[in-house]
Amino acid sequence: MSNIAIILLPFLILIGTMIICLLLEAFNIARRFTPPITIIGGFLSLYSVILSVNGDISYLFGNPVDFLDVQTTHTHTHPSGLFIIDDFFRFFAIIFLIVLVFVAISSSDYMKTDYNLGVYYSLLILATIGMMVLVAANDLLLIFVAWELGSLPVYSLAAYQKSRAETSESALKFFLIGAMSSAFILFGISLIYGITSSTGSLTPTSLETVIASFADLSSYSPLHVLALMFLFVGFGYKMAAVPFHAWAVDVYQGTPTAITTFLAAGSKAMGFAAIMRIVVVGLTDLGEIWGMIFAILAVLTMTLGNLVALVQTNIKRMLAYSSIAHAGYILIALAAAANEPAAAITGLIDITVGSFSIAAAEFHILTHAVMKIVAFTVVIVVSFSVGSEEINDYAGLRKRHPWIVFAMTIALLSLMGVPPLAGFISKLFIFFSALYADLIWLAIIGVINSAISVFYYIRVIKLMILDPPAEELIESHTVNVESMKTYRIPMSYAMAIGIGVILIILIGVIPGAIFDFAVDAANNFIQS
Amino acid sequence: MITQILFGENGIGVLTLIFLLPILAALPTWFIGRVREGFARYFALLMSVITFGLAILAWMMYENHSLLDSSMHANRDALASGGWTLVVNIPWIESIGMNFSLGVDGLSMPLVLLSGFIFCIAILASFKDIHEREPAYYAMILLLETGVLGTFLATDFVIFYVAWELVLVPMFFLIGIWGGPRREYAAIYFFIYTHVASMVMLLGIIGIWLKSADYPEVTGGGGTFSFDLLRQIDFGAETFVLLIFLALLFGFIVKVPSVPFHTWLPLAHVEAPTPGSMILAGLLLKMGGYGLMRMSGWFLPHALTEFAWLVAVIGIVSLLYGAWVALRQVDMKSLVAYSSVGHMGIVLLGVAAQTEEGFAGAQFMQIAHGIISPLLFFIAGTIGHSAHTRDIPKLRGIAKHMPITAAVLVFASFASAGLPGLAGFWSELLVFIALFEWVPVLAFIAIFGIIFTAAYYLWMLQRTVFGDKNPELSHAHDVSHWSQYSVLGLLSLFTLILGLFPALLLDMMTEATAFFESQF
Repeated sequence: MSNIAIILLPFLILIGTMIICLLLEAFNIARRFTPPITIIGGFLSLYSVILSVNGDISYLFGNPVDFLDVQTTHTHTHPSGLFIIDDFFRFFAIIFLIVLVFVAISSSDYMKTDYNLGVYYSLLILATIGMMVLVAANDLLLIFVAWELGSLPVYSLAAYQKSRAETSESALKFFLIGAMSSAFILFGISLIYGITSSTGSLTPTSLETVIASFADLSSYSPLHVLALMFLFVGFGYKMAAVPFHAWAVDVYQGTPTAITTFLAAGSKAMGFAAIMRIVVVGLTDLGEIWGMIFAILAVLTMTLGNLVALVQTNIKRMLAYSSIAHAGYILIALAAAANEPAAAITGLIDITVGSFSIAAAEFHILTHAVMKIVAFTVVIVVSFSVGSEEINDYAGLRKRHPWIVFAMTIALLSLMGVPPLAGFISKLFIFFSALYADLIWLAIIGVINSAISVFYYIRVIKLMILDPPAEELIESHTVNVESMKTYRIPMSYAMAIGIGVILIILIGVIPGAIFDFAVDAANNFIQS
Repeated sequence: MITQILFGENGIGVLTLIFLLPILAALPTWFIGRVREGFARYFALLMSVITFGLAILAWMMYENHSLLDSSMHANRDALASGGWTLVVNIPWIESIGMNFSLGVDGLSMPLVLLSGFIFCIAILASFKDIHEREPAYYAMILLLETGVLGTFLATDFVIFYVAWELVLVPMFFLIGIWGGPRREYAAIYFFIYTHVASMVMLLGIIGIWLKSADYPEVTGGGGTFSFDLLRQIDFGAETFVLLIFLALLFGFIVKVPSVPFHTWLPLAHVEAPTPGSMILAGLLLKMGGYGLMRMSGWFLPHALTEFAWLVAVIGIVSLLYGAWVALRQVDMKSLVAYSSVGHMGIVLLGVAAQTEEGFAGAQFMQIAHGIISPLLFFIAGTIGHSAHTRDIPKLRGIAKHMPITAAVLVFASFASAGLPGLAGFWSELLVFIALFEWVPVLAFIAIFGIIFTAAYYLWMLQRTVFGDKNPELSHAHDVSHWSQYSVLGLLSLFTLILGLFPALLLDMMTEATAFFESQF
């Protein structure tokens, strides 16, 4: 009993925090403490995850009789249980919790005029819990429930500032598309249920059953393919991979920027985590099929993302397309994981092509999250200070906010892939995973895309640092002159941005430990 | 005890200190400048002088100088076979076998000394030139220094690439913030042009890594970025290797820059602040030349043999075109910029000849040009500053108004044109010897480049230095600050020393030149 409580401690802390937030809201006491409570709760949960990193794989809720028994193993001999708590879970939980803490910090000023603070923060925590359950889930049905738990609160968060027309529009769009993707996933799962239950299995939706059923290539039917396609489409929406990307840009632009951060850094990672758990690791035998699909999606996603980003005039739209392009880079690593994943890499110990690729994908998801957190938080600050989200209004920003401009420059250079920042290292790993998997052409397309992306990132840097502030903007009142003069950056943003920048530089200079952890996480669940 | 930790066998290594000192000093420089405006320059100067001092120490260790304790002497055994000495090898990303490895040999040692020297000079030259946002400026210069030094010191392709790219960002800001009227355009143009070229180079680096995996007996299985392992591999001249060569060559000749990829250079030079131009011409171009020499001699000699004609053609076209276009330039900085294109063409010719003389000549040109062109840019900047114009037709008779500057301008122009006894002469001599041995016709054509070079310098001198007093320049005043004197004096002194004692440089790279020729 105590064992299971310790293993589930990250969840329990979050649930407790959420309840406290709601209670404060309900009884209308000390509501201004809601943000710090959320931050502390998120941080404690993060700490408990980091402390529990030990390579153990625990299966929970497996046995109906001894429901609370925990089976902990290193060798994957007990492949049953609703939950798997392994290093893969821990890696993604760390990403989600980092995102939660950052978004909570940067929301604390953003939302301070809002009346229902407790609801806002509890929804944020609830979504994080959903995403964490998703990466721990070992059963398709649980995956679906977690998927909804990770999505529904975000829909309401996106619609939170309902007085703004564009927010309502984008939230509605987000919800409709999201509901559709859930339908796709559910339909895929129901097809799989049909396939596996006919084999007489007791737990037809457990991942092991599914994997076993899909592994037998001789009994392949069109149903198998159809089921996979539906899952792909469903998860593809969350990842914002082309051709399922169209919603992302409008939604990123319309939602409050703090939530955009959550979407770009958190929800996207959830889509990738789901597809990695089910497809990349589960269905290794079908690697040739989905590997090719991923490779094509990767090329489409990054090329379209980068090309369209070139012509954007709104910074949030530009960052949204850059986010799509980065989803494309991550897909390169996933495509690489398909190609002979078990092949050893000569010269490296304990790393196979598959685990290297998955580790590269995980690593890039992490660095992308941090970079986007910094970039979007800067966007929040600027939208308050300048009153605009147009790229041209960033002209001469250096004169007003030198530190903010410094942070944005670091974030953009890192997104561009300039060494020695985090974005360079993680992109390098991704290109390497493609090389290890003999996908040289994919690596070359990745490098070319990386070169294209320079144009739109450097334009923002040039505007911010080199250009003078546009006089006509001030005259035409696009820029709020009063706020421009008096706006002081709140401590919360400064903290979020500062920590983010330090992370970007540190990950870039000493990536070893984190990458090793990513490799452990990959190894850990590849073998399970 | 401390010397053991810093410079001993298993210590931090003098090269690590050289590499890290400037970048670690960048932030303190900025802070000091914020606290007391005007202190940033002295702190930056101090740091760059210490870095130069460490570079000299490294050189003394490299030369096994008698002043040093014998425990600090470098082991030069590896040099004869193209290896490195004073090697630092620290695991960086262990899980994929990437190392932070630095080293020096006959090719990189002179360039490291040159970098240390030119950065001190550039900071001195900034004293009277830069008055705006000094803290950030000096921090950028120090950041740039780490990038340049890292490029020359790296013995691992990833470190090399990191340092190579690290140069871009500070240079972008130096041009973009402290530059001339069209600075933004120039900065963006510079950044995009060279960054895209670096991407192509990255493809080449990835290619060489892939290819190295075919030689497990050297690499111990898997690909490698280590210069030390790559030089032991005998890459043939098959199609894939030739493609790698072309990709790397593209990355390098954009940086050199050679015709037809030179268009960023005059723009960047004209718009950059004077110290920025000095670093750009003195060191950034040398990164391209260094890369070319390292690649051709150490990793892909057979591919160079295949493509020697291409490198030679690019070199000779750059030489002739640069000289020809320089004749027509109005802006003095632009003239020096095109002369750089021409002189760097000689580096390409020297490498293409594939002989000891050619290699030594190319390297000599790198160092000589690295000293002379900053001098010329400094003079052009000073004239522009005090006469308010750099247009040659308007500068009649500066000898009367600015005698010292004019005198040094004459000296530097002659040095750049290759007057015997000055630094520029030896490199041209050596390269021409090599060309005569290789393809005499090329030498014959190249002579015209030299004639043009002499012609545009003489014509420029005739129009600017000589002539009557010019009432339009009555406001012009000569150099007066100690920093300006020291820049002119030190650069001229080294031009002279290198011209009179070429053996100083040639001795430093005997092993490297011999190794270079043995590769073909």
